[in-house]
Amino acid sequence: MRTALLTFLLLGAGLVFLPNIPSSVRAQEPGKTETAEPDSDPAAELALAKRDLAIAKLRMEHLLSEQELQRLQTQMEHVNAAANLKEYNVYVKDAAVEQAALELLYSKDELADAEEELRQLGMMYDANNLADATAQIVMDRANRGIERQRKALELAAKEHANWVKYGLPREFSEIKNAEALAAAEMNLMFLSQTLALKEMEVELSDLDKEIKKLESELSESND
Amino acid sequence: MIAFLFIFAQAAAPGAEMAPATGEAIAKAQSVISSGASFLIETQNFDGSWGGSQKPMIYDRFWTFPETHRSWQIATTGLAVMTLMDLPDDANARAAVDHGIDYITNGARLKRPTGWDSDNTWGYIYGFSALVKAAQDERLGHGSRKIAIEAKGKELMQQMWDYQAPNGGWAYYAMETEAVRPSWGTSFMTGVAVLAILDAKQLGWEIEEKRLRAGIRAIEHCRLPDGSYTYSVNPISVWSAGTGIDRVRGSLSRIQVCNLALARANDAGYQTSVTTADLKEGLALLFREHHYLDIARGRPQPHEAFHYNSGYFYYFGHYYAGYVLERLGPSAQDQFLPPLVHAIAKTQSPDGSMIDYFMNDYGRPYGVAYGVGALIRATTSAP
Repeated sequence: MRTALLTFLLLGAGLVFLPNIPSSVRAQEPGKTETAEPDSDPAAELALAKRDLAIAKLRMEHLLSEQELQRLQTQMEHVNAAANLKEYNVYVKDAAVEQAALELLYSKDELADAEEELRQLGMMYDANNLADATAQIVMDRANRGIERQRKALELAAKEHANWVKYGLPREFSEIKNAEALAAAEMNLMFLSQTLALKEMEVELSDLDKEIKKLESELSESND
Repeated sequence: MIAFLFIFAQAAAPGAEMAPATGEAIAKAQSVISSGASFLIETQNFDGSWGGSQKPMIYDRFWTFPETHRSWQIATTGLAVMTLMDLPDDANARAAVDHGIDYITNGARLKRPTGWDSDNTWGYIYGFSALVKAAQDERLGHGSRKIAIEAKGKELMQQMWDYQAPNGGWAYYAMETEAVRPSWGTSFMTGVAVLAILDAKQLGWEIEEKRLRAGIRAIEHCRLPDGSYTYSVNPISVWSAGTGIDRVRGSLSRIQVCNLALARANDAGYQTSVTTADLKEGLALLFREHHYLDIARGRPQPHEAFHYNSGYFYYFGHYYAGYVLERLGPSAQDQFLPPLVHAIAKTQSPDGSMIDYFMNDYGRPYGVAYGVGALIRATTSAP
């Protein structure tokens, strides 16, 4: 069935030229060529075997291409993971710590700006007899802003401390695990490819032998 | 200075037919004018200007273009000298006016700050207004200063024409197009411009008649049936529902300058729809809904109060209300002078300053110039 589907796909794509096969011959599973019956047609059986061989060669070619692609992909993934790990250790880790510290500084500065704004608002309104209500509205608004910013700073400080204590080691661990995972996937890929290649080689060898056998039988019957 | 106060108090003494509240208002106005004028004279910069980019407050960090500040400084100086020119003779005031006029006339050509920011128009319009007024003032209108006033005044007028939008209006940003000629126009700035151009025409200065007519048309176009004016010169003038700005409560300050400009245009022979009754109705609206301006005064963010009122609407509106009241004459004094004086007097600090908006070092001098200017004009026609 698998072979029939592949054949259909390859034929549909116009990629395969198959020898003419008598219409009386039905498709068979590769490697399972029926032994010639006393009233069988050896020439037809030989043609059938040659067709199976052609398909098997194409599958082999396809497998090689697929394996090459997988190999490149996993190798690149491993190279990237290794580079990430190296970069992380060399500078990303330090930069992340500095970035987190900068964000904390922003939060501190925002609180300082809000306090400065309140101070200046106080200066502006103190120097004038503006309507008390307006001054109070604006001052209350600025005070609420400071309270919000104070809470935001507390949260930012907590987040910074937690990230250094928990987030940073977890981030390092994730990167390290990713490298190990990529290495394991690469090993598995090599094993899978070796196995698949071996199976295909055996299949091709069996088909070769079968063809030789059929040719020999055909030759003998002609004699 | 003391002599000036005495003379002024005598000149504006309440008459017998005046309502008691009006008499008290005039007395109060004299005190406010005196204190405010002293503040202006004492705070004039060494170079003759008023205000400046110094003392930036929290919301001023945005305005970094030097030419923006030069424009505001010229505008503030123009307002200050216009108010001081209206004072009766006083040596200190005259010296301050001369120095201020020289600052405007001797300054380099005022340029546009940047693509979107065309605040240079404030310098053009109030610098021009001040020089036109100076040219009308016989005390200033002679000698080399007269020549300088006319030359600089005409230069500023040409720059004003250059910045008039195709819709006939003037404004102070060009964000939409950043083109050489801005596309935005506002009713209120156009009102200020038209008033000064009408004065210049009366002086005999050559003006561009078509452009003046376009300005008058733009103001008229902004007029809404409820007596308010739209903020911008829009293709179609639409009344704002709900909390919008284009209705009386968001237009209290615009109404005064726009009504005045259209009334003055009528005087000059241009057909406009504003009548004396409309001028009175405009003042009545100002004081009926005055709390909207009270709430906005001192707010640090532009347009943050109800109906998008800004702090800086306050004195601008009262300044032109003073001119409207002067125009209406004694018949309107009893109704409108006491609330006008109260609205300004209650905002004056012990040092004579007034402020409606915190804006570098411009807020107090322009506040006093507008506030004191309003009271001088409003009491000019007092019985």
